[in-house]
This record gives sequence, structure tokens and C-alpha cells, in this order.
Amino acid sequence: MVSYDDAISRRRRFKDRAATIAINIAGWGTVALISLILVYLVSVALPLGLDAEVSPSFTWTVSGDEHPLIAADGETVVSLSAVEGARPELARVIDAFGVVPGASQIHVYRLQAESSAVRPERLTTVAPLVSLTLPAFRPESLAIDFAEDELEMVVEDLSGKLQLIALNLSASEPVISNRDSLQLRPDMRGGTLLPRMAGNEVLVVQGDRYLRWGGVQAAIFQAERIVGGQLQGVLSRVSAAALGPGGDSLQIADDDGQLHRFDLTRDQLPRLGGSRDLAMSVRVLISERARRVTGAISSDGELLLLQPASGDVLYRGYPDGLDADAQPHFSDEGHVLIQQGLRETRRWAIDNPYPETGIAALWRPQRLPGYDKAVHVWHPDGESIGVLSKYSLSPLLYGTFKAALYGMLLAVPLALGAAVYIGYFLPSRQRNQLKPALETLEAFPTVVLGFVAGIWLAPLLADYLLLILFLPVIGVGLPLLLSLGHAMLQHIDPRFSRRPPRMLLLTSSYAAALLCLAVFAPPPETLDQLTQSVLWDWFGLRYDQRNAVLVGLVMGIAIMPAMFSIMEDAIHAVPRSLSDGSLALGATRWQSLARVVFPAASPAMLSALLIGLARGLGETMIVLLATGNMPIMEPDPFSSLRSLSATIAIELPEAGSESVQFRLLFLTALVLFGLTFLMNTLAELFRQRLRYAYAHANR
Amino acid sequence: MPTPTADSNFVESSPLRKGVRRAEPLVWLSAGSVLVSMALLIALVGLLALRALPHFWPAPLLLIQSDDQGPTAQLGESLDARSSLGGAEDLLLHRGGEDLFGSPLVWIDERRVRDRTTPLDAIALDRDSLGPVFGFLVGVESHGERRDLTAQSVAQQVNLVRVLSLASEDGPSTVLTREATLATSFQVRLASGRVISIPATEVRNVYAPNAMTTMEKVGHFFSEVGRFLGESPSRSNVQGGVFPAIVGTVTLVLLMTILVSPLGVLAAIFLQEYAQRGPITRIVRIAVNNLAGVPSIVYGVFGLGFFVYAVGGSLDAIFYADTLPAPTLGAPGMLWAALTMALLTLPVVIVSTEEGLARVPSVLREGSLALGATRAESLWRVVIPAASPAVLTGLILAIARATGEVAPLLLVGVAKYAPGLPVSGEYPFLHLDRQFMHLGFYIYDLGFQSPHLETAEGLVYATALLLVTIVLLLNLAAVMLRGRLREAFKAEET
Amino acid sequence: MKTHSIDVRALKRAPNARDASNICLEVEDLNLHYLRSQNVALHDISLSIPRQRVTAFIGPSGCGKSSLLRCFNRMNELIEGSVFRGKVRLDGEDIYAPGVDVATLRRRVGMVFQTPNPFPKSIYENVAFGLRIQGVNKKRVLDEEIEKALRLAALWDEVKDRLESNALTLSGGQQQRLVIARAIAVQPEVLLLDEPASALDPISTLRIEELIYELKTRYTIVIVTHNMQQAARVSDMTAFMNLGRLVEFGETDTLFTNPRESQTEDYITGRYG
Repeated sequence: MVSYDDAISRRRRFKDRAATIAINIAGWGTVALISLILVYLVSVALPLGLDAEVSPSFTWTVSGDEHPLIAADGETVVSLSAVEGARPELARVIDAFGVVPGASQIHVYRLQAESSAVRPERLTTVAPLVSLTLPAFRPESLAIDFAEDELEMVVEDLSGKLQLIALNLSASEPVISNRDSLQLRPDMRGGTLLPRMAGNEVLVVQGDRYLRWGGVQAAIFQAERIVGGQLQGVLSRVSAAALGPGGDSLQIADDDGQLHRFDLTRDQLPRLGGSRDLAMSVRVLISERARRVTGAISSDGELLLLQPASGDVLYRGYPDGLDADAQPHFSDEGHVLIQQGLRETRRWAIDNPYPETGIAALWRPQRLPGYDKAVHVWHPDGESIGVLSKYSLSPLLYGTFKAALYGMLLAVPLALGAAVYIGYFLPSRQRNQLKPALETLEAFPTVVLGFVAGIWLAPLLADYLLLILFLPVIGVGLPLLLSLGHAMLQHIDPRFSRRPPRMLLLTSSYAAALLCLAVFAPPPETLDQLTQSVLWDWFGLRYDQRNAVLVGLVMGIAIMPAMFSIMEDAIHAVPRSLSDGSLALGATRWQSLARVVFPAASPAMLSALLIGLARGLGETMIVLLATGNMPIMEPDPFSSLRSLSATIAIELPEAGSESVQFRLLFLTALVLFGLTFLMNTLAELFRQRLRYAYAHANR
Repeated sequence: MPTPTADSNFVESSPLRKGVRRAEPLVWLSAGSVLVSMALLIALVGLLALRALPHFWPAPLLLIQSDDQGPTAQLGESLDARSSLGGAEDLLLHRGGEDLFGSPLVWIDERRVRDRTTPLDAIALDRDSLGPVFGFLVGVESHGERRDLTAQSVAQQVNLVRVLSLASEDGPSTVLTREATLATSFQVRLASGRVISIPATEVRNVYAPNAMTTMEKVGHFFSEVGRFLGESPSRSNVQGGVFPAIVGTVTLVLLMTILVSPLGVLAAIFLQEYAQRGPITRIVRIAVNNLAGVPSIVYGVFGLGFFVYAVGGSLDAIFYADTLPAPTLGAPGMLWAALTMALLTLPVVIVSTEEGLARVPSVLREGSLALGATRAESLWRVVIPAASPAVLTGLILAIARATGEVAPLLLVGVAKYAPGLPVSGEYPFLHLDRQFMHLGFYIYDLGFQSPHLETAEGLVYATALLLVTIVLLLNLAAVMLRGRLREAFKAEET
Repeated sequence: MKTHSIDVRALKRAPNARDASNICLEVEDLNLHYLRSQNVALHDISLSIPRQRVTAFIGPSGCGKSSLLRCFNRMNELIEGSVFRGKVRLDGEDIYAPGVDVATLRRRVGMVFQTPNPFPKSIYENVAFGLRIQGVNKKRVLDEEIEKALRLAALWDEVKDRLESNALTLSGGQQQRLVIARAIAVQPEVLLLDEPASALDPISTLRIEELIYELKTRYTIVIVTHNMQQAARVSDMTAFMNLGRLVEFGETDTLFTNPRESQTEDYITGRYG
């Protein structure tokens, strides 16, 4: 007799409870983990959509002989030593230099205090680094630019002459490196002066007329070169003119509140797109130097921050005390807005970390200086080569789909054909052998596929392009020929209507065809000429050695097995009774397949297509290795492309964890996640429909 | 299988349609696509093998006298031939280390070749860092004493080099031999006539391919395969073995398996056995299903952002604050890579385990519960054993997927060249913070970042073949296991 | 014992104190319904099942007899969304009272299902299963108990030479007897049989019926069957159920020869079912 122990039963109960708790923890933990992926990706990407915020940070009321000036870092405040006739309220600040105009003198200050001093008792008073004497000039016309230790200053003197002085500040003593002047025509007098060192030129805008003095994109300033003309499309009076972000565009606001942009990298000063209604009467236009941010300030103190190329509005509001007359300007890489008034100096903090990643900037075409049409450009680390970064994700999405679709081009017919043959025509013993063999391809490491594509296939494709493009014709043509032959034999003698040894015939004829091709193929030079005349001359296609066709060929192999597997399952799952019934009615096998089996399996077929596409979209290694990774948006089959996934693989290891690029790459990952998740969900729903429909028939 | 009916009698149709129907062109086409798919698989593996195996076979050293840019003599392995313009052939010759010539590779115009021989006394010396040297051994210098070797046979020369160089590692390693090696250098005459001196410590292997018999070549082949599997890559990364990459891959996969299997199996049990059936469970199940289809690179992004920067960075701030800003755990490494891979394979494991559990008949559970077993006991003693083949199949598939997966590793932990293995004899034996080498990444890196790919191509193909073999074997195991599972269920049904 | 008759209506009102020691399972106002599935609901069922007798539940399919059976070892709780109301007493103890250990209850109330469900293990391990989970692991005790159970289930002679072979290799009838052996190995007080012979051939069915006859000397047996002849052959008491209600409960002989309710009569004379 066995006795039952209470202690044992207590222990059992405890174990059961412990197991329940552990399983629940694991279950909910998994759920949490899944959510965490999404939440984390979103949390990193989300700030990209944040608007800007402007908040007052301090106001300085000037007393007596104090002339505080906030340096370009937005933090340092120094007091200028009073100089006879100087007008600190008209000071121009750039980098660590402040330039203060007098009546016939320009005073250059170096604005570097010992420490950032914002309280009066710790203010450092600095004397001018140098004072330059000029003919009497309009002090408010003073304009400056700074690049690579050179400070350029332009004023218009009272005789209507442009006076240009360039100072080299690399040495301890400033050296005048360039000095020039230009007599303005009367109608150009009193205009806005815009020195632009990036183009080694000085721009004058007066009314709707402009003048370019110096060399457009020239290596040095060429005083003899003068181009002038009328600003196209500016219909009403110009109310503000300024260089755009990065200094490579000219931005004009007119009385109607329209913002016009012009491309300064071209001689003819072409317009950059249409005008944009800012819905305010603009008095001052300012732009950041390193990011595509423009601020417009109206006469009633309204501030509008926008990305001028995309038109994304970042901020619109009335910062307290903002006065367009005091010529506010950006400072400290756009973190600070400074207004240097006669009696009052104000500073606002601008929290605007992601100005260039609005919806329009990321996805819509933009007119950018240097391009003749609206473009999508992905160039996230422009800083490293001294140009503005461009953050359009469109070419990446385009490339992603292009690669996937070219892959589908090969994968769909192969998967469908193989699924039909194995799932419908083959006896189950052979099916059980062939199916796992084909599914093995699914596990083929994609890095190997990519490597084979990039190293072995790419040069081969380049050399034997026409021949390789001809292969599908053989692939389709041979079975058709054999089928024709079979039909003719049947016509001659009905005995041939028995099932032919298909695989054997096909294998041998494919092998024979390949052999013929290998033996009788024309030499590469002939092929080369032929390709040249057919593809490049006729169609005008471009050819990159790693291109969409190449990636499609290999991607097809990668995504075919998954699609095949689902399609085959679906075809096989359609109850035999259905198609047998149709066969009994006299339909041929193909008819019963097409009219009975396909319609029944079609939801799963659709699901297979979606899953194949999703795999293609997310594939990384093949695309990385076989596409050349150029972010261009061209439909050409032989042009390079760059996918979202490859971009992540290339750029994320290099991107700093605080940079815009880092967050953008997370957004990219999120887009990929969303796309594939959506497609897989749809596919799952389709598949479930099939499952329900045949749940009963299968029993 | 129904027999093909030639035609239907009661459907009116034109002779053409009749003919088409009889010919069954689409059946032929579908058969063709099966064939093409199979051919692709075979061609891929065949290509890898065809390109990989010659890498281990001693290639003959060609001595080519040509008039290209004046009379020159070149000695090296022929790598490739291409037809140049004008119908002539060009020959790509690998002539040895980078330090000896401007480029290790040279294209030779066949029309200018005057003479081509395979001199029996030509030897190949593999060096540690700068690639191989092809030439003729003329002398050896030991402790400042020079000995002329030109009179000796090439076999003796090879033996001598072996004894004086590799002996320090393989043979009776005494202080004496070690010192001897340190003080020894070999004089090698290149094809151009220049004599260079190679320190014995640099020499990793020596052989005279032209003088080898077939048996010796076979022996050389296998010893090269052994070196490939068991040695570290040379510093130039174009020679030597992939042992660290194998260790890295295996460690990664093992760690991942240890992480993913308990969590995955428990989560599947939760979904299948414990969670209430309802909309939430359904959503979770669909989500898990779909996560299996989310691109691996996305997991890599998550791994880098969350594991490496967020978690690793925080841990660094707490435990390794004194070494900051140099990161300890806040940098890509083995632990984070394994975690990322575990996350990546989690859906695969959950889905297959769930399928296995669902296939266990509910009468077994009820039978066990009716005998007074608790839920945990039923699971542990009846349900899980019955589902274990499916669980194992899922795990193997997950492992196969992880082995071939490279994309997320680009972000969370692989290195081009990691001197320290992730497992070693020194404390703490398993170095989770280390970067590691990986077979898949090695292919990517070598194939696309090496300056002279042609010289490394054989190695890359060999690595690819190794990786593919491992993955395909794992898959084969899964397929066989699944087959056995099916048979077991069949036995139960009858 | 056989002479003793039980008045169902009297039982419905209050259990007879005189019979208390002979009553094994006592059901009082049992109601059961399901929130999410369409299983049959049970309404206001009260009955008392006598000790060491065979009680059969009969009725048309879908009448709730299996559901009722599963209430006796709380297997009904495995179906999500089942709502139970009422009382079931095993030896006077409410098995639905809070704090009752379900595992212990199920050891005391064994169950055999419609289709044989041996575990995919050896014959030996199948029978040992219940004992092992109770913490019995001594080989000697196990051997002894397993032999005892298999002998009781009349299977010992057929399997004694292949105890280590897989239970799935047994025939259907043998499997069902194995499952019964598995159930009685843990020495339950009550054995619930849910149509134990419905999946078996006539000869196996006969053997199971013989076995039930043998077992009733030791156990209280409740059997669900749709086969009236079987109920008449093996049971002492019979309950006829229809549409989730208990229609009539009484001595088998009485119920079959002289049913009180016209519904019962209609059923046993084959007018529906």
C-alpha cells in the first residue's frame, strides 16, 4: 500500500506555483521585449519631428558707457571699450569677431572673454583689435563674412562706392589680405550688401536688381568680374534680402510676404522653385550657416523659423521683445537668437535640434542650390566636406523597393512554377524529397550570396550581359519547345500521350543549351560592341558594375524559397477531392489547377508575394554587397541603388549616438520595421483566410 | 495521382486550343522552374567548392620571361586569365608579398612572353605579415654565419627551412632552437635576380610546389585545410586560417542558444498553455509571428542603440566609471551580439515550439491532469517530451539562421581582426566584452575591403564554403528531425 | 445492497442521513454554463452516487452527461469560461470549496477518456506516471504497484513480457485497459469512465465491461455511455439526462423496465436518441 505524504503534496504545489510564475514572467517578458523594440525605436526617432522652441534667456539694459556685445557662441558677453563715433548697436558679429562701424572707421574686436561672463561685474572690456579707416560710409550698410581666418567686410561709402576689405586674422597681428572698391551705378545704391566668401564674391541686391562682383565659385576674388541682372519672378518690392543657409542661395522676401530663393552656385542666378507665402510682412531674413534653417522676422516682432528648401515650418510666434529694426541674428550654430539694440541687448535660446527632418524634407523633392530640378538627396554627413547635409530618405526607400522588386522578378516565376509542379504534379514521395531540398536554399547565408554576386557575378555580368539576359529566354523557351514537340508526337501517335520523362528531358536539354552557349558564345569584344549598340546607344541606359539587375538575380535566389514554401503548402493544402472532382468532369490537369486549385489557394499566394517582398525589402547583405550603394533615384535596370538596410549597415557604426544622422538611421530602421511588419500582418491575415476556408474540407 | 486526360470530349474547342491543352506547356514550364531552382542551389555550392578547393592545392610556380617593358622575369602563381583587346590573352600573376613589388599582382601580356617554365627548385615561403615570397633559396644565415645552399636539393632546402623556422613551434621546442630561429634568416633569390633576406621567425610555411609528387600535393592540400581550420589569420589577412572566426561564430551561437532557448520555450508554453485565449493572445501571437519577418538589421539597430549604448553605457557609468570615457560594456561586443541574436531568433523558437505544443493531443494533457498531476508536472513529464522534436527542430533552424546572419553583427560586435578570442584560458575565460571575429563578417570584410582581392579570393571562397557547409548541415539535421517527428506522429495516428 | 432502493426525489430535498455512509458523491443544485463555447449547460442537477456501485449516465448525445462527469474531478475547469455553481461532495467534503487541492482531488477521482490516451512512453512508465508524481520512486514499490494495477486491469498477462515497449504499440482495447490500470494505480476512490468503449471493437468492449464488473468491488464507478445495453449490462444505478437536466435517476432495473418519466421511456424504447 502506498501512502500519500502531505509534505510531498505541499512541495508539488509549490513547484507548480513556481512554474506558473516563471512561465508568466517569461511570457509577459517576451511581450514586453517585443514592445520594447518598437518603443525604443520610436523613442529615438520621435524627436526628429519636434518643432522648435524659442525662449527668452536674458535681457541686458545698457547703462552709461557700457557697450555689451554677445559673441557668436551665444554665451560670452564682453564690453566694448568706447571708441569715438562707434555705433555698437550696428555691430556685426561672426564667429569670435565683432565688427563695429563708425562714420569713417571700422573697428574689429576679438570677442573672447576669459570665461563666459554674463554679469556686469565680471564683464571684460576689450579694445579694438584693429580700426580701419575708410571714406565716409553708411554705417548700416556694413556687412561681413568669415571663413578660414579671413574676415571680409563690405560697406557702401557716401559716393556710392563699394569698399571691400579682407583681413587675415590667423596671425597675432591682423593683415589686410585684400582691398578693393567698385563704383555702383546710381540705381544700385543703397542696396543690401551680401559678401559671400564661399563664392569669393560680393552680392548687392537693390530692389529687384542684383549685382555680383567677384567670381562665382571662383577660387579667388576677381574684381573685374561683374554680373548683374534682374531677380526673376519677384513681383513686388523687396523687403529683405539675405544669403540662405550655408550661403549658397539668395533669399528674398517681398512685400507680399513671399519668400523667393535663387541659386548662387550658378551664374544666371536661377530661381529655386516657386515662391513661398510666409504670411507675414518680412523685415529681416536670417539663416544658419551649417543647417538649412531660415528665420523671418516681421515688423511687428513675429518670428518664423522654417526649412526653406522643403518649406517645413519649425516655429511661428512672437518672442517677447523681438524687434526687426535691431537686426537680430542667429548665433552659436542656431542655438541662440541675439538682438543688439541701442539701449537693450536681448538673447533668446532656440531649441531646434532637428530642423531638417520634417516630413517634407525627408520625403518630398526639394530645390537645392547646385541642382537644376527638384531632387531627393541623401547626404547626411555633408559637414565632413563642408557642405550642408541633405536628409532625403526617398532615394533609400526607392532603392529598397527597386532591389526587392527586381528580386521578385526572378523569384516569383521560379517560386510559383516550382510550387505548382511540386505541390500539384509530383507524387508525394518525390515531393517529400524535393521540397526540403529547395527550402534549404532559404538558409543559404546571404553574405555568401552577396559575395558571389559582388565578386563573381558582377564582372561576369558586365562581360556577358546580353548572354546572361538571354538565359531567361532559354529557361522559358526550352520547356515550351519540348511541350510543342510532345504535342506533335502525340499528334503522330497517340501512344505518346503517356506522361513523358519530363525532368530527364528538361535536364538534358538545359545542359545541352548551356553547353552550346559556352561553346558558341561570341567573344567578349563582339558581345561588348553588341551591348554597346543595343543597350547604351539605343536605350541610353547607364551601367554601373553593381546594379539593380545584378542584385535582382541574387536577391531572387534569396527570397524564392520562402515564397515557394508558402505557395507549395497552399497548393498542397487544397483538398484533392476538389481538383479530382473537376478532373472527373473532363477538365485537363492544368485546367483543374487553374480553375479550382489556384482560386482556392490564391489568398496564400498573395500572402507569399507579400512575405517575399518583405524579405526583399529587409535584405541587407546582398544589397550591401551587390548594389554599389549609390543613393540615386533612377529606374534604370543597370544603375546602382542604395537601400534603407544597407544605409544602416554602412552609416550607423560611424554615426555619433547624439547626431541627427543617428536618429535618422533609427527612423530608417523604424520604416523598415513598419513596412515589413505591415506586409507580414497582411500576409498572415490572407493565410488565415485560407486556413478557415479549408479547415473543414481538410478533415 | 490522376492520369492526364488527353482532352475533354464534351467541350467544344478549336484544334489549336486542343493542341495547346495536350501539350501542357505550363506543366513543362513549372517543371523547368523546379529544375532551375535546384540547379541554382547546386551551382552555388559547386561554384564555392570549385573556387575554394584550389586555394589549398599547391599551385605551380611559373617562371615567365617576357619582353614587357624590357626583358623581365617573373615568378609566381597564375591566378586568372582574361582576353585583352586584340584577341590575345593576359595572364594575372601573383608574384608575392607587397613589400617586394609595387603590387603583388601583375598582368602579363601573353604575346610578349618568350619563355614559360616551372622550375623544380622554386620555393614558396609563407610569411606572417607581408604575404608569400616566391623564389629560389640560395643560403641561410645563422648567428652571422652564412651557408650556401644552392648545391642542395630542393627537398633538403625545404626540410632545412622547416627545421629552422617552424621547428620552434612544432618540434622539440627548446630554448636552443628558439634562439637559433631568432638568429636565423634565409636568403632567397627572386626571379629578377634580387636576393632578399627573410628572418626565420617570419616564416610560417614553406613548400616547393613544382617538385612535389601528387601524393605530396594531396598531403599539402590536407595540411593546408588543417591550417585553414586551425590557425589564426596572418596579419595581412590574406593567408592563414579562420580559427578565431570559427571560435567566434560558435561562441556567439552557443551563447545565443543558451539565452534564447529557455526564454523562447517558456514564452511559447505561456502562449499555448497558460495565457487565456483572447484578443490579446492573438495579437501577441501575430506579433511574434511577424517579428520573425522583421529584417535582421532592425534588430541590429535596436541592439546597438539599446543594448550597447543605453544598457552598456549605463553599466559602464555604474561599474566602470574609473575607466571612462573608454567604454568597457558600452561598446559592441560578444555579450550584446549574443543578446541581439537571441532576440532575432526568439520568434523562430517561439513559433516552432508553439507549433510543437499545439500538435501534442489535448487528451494527453487531460490524461495526465486526471491522474492528479499538477499543470507543471503535466507539462514537464508529458507535453514537453512529446513536443521536444519540434522544439529541437526550431532551435536548430534558429541556430542555422543565426550562423549565417551577418547584418546585425556589423553593428553590435564583430571585428575585422580581433586578437583575443572570446573564450580563453585566462580569467574570466569567457570574455563577453570583447569584440570577436565571425565567419560571415570575415567574408564580407575580406571580399570587399581587402586591397588585392585576387590574392585573398581563394581564402574567401573557402570561408564561404565552410559557412555554407555548416549552415546546410544544420538545416539537414533539422529536416531529418522533422521527418522523424512526422513519422512518430504517423505511428500514433494509426 | 442490491435490495436497497433510493428515492431520487427524497435525495433532491435532503440527503438521507441513514444512507450517508453509503453515498460517495453527492451533487447538489449543480449548474454549469460556458461563456465562450457552445458546450451544453447543466441545470439544477442534484443526485447522490452510491459507494462501490456502478452508476451509468445515459442520454442522447449532447445532453451534458460528459460535462457532468467532468464536474466530479473538476476537469470542467480546463475549458475556459466555464462557470460552475452548486456543490459536489466527495465523502461529504465539498470539492469546490476554496483551498481544495485539485491535484489531490484528481488523484482520488480517477478518469478514463473516450479515446485511449496512453502517454508516448513505455507501458511501465505509463502506469508508474501517477505514482511517480506522487513521489513514489522506489523501484520495488513501483514494480509491485504496477503489477497490481495491471493485474486488476486484466492486462498483466498480455504485457508482462514487454513492459518496456512503447504503449502506443498496444491495440486500442489494450491501450484502454492500460489507461484504466494507470488510473487505478494511484488508488483512487472513484473511477470516472467517459464512454470508455466507444472507440473499441465489440470484443474489446466486452473485456472492458468485464473489467468494470470486477472493479466495482473496490471502486465507486461512474460511467458515461450512449449505449443503453451497456448501461443495462454493467450498472447498478442509471441516470437519464436530457438537454442538460437530470430526468430520472434510479436502480438500473427499475429505470429500464419501469421508467417513471415518459421522456425516459421514449429514449429507452428508441423513439429518439
